[in-house]
Amino acid sequence: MTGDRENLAELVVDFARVLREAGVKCSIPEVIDAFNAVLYMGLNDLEKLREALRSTLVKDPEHYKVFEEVFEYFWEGRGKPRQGLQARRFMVRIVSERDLDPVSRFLNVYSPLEVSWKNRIARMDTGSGKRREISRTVRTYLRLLALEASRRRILRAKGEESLRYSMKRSLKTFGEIVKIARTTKKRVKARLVIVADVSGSMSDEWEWLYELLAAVKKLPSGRYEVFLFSTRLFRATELLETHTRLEEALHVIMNEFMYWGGGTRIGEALETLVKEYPGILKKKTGVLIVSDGWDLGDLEKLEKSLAEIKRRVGHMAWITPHASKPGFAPATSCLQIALNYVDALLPKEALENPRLLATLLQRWEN
Amino acid sequence: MSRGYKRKLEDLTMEELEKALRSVGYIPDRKLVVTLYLAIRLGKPLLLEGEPGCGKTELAKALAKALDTELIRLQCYEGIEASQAIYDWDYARQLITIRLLESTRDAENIEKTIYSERYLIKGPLLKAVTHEGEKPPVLLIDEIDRADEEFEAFLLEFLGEFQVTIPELGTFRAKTRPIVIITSNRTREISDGLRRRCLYLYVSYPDREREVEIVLSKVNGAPRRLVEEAVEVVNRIRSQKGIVKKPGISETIDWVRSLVELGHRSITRENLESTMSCIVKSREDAEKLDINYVLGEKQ
Repeated sequence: MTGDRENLAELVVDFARVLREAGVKCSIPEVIDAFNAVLYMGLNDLEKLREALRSTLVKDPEHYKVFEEVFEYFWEGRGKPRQGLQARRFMVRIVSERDLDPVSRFLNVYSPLEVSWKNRIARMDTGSGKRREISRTVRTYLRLLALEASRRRILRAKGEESLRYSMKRSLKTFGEIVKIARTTKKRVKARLVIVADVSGSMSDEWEWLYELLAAVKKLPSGRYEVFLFSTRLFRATELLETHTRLEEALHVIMNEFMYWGGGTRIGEALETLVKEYPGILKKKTGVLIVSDGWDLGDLEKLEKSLAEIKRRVGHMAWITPHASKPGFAPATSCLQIALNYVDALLPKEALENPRLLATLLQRWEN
Repeated sequence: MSRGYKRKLEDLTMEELEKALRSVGYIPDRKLVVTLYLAIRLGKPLLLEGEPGCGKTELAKALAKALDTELIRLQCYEGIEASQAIYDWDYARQLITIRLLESTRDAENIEKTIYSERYLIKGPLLKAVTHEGEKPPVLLIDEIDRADEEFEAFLLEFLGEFQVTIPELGTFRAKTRPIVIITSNRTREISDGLRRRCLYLYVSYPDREREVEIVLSKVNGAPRRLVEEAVEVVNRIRSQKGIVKKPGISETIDWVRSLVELGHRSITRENLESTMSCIVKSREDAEKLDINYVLGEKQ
């Protein structure tokens, strides 16, 4: 019996290891839970075994698909685990590369326009933009989002009288209310998330994007997040925060990450945002996606990711540089999808004028 | 007369759990039964995530009824504090007592009196820990994603030890671990720490057959054909692109109930339009809804 238990424990540990190699994080306490669960369920009923292992080891529905593949392979569909490390490695490779066709892999690493972008940035005039206006507008946007106060109350001299707090305090003075306590609703400060497209098709807007990033950089640390994407998503926040000058930060991004230009994969970029940075997408967050909507990526991923972001954040707007041009219509498939989920589709000029922004967002406010 | 499971929880089998849930009108699928059974057996909290209206909260209610035990509910919201979840002192009563005992000038006695269990307002967590019944209670921590991260961190401690410490009174430890069900609508990501401590299940919309079965069990006198048509329509609405607030099972039940109340025997365009507010709950979604598509009609 002890031997059986040991064998079972080994199997569960081995399965968890394979799962880990396939990208599903599972900790030791979870493996212990899995072992205990398998003790209850046994190995005879494959469906029960599947549920026991899934409920104890997989805590994110995004990993269900990987789990299914690993489970099918590991247990071979007959309640017997497949043996051999080599076979396991092979399977893990299949799992990790299953979504990528050769063209996708090529697009993910190759960016022919990066070199020309570097030259262009070096020659750019960065001092004559609308930085001040954009800065004011961004702050207005954050204020609009922060209007709603939390239900949590905090002590504040100019608040409303609070009998509850007064009595609580009076216990210190033996029941004598020396001073009436006053409280107000706590204001939660809103955060801004900029997701900016720096692909080749946005090359005409580079100066404007530069001004936007400069304006955002002026916000207090912790109030903003900046992500840049073309075929991949890159979190630029830390570099912006740690470099005093924006030029330096962008220089580091370009030199070290070889990132600028190339095609656009908005769906993949937003999917990365949702999966890798879930803690950033909260109710008191406004997301501004800056892109022209010319996309080479997977539209299904785009739709799924936009729906997820919409569900999690307080407000989401799509800024497109072409929206103010005469005859503009959101005709690209990408913008058509975006219209279903974003709270507002705005021209870039909306970020240069606080009043215009407030007017354009009025519908959302109502 | 309660229809719940009467015997000791240790004797509960998976089949009996499923039967008990069905007996109180909750139709679970196999995945849910296995996971719930394991959560009870292993004494681990069960974290249920999924779209609103999929029956997550209902499961906790049904489980309490099915096991014939008490349901203790902690409804989370933005700004909820530990004092609201665990305990608070009844300040008003404490003040009155202080006034009454003032003349005795026995500070120690006054302190002992006002910091006793009599002046304690128990929150749901403390209630669950101090539960005296034969069977453990079902503790429902509902919509954890609405609470702040600080509150979630506090819960980690509670779920690890199932004990509550009150500085003035000492530590209360649960004699039998409550059955904890935590629900989340995924409006924000729950921390890894909390996930690790729980068994996990993502609850999605049921398949058509099970949804029909659920609706039939919830709406008395609903004709099967009407329910099947309604479920078909709701499934089409869920699959229509661009619909943000997809109708859950509870919406399907409400809708069928309304149709039955209005005396409709089948779903027509007029019926759908007049009762649409039961299943489509935002102006934007109502505008986007393609009625031809959801009724399965050709354009």
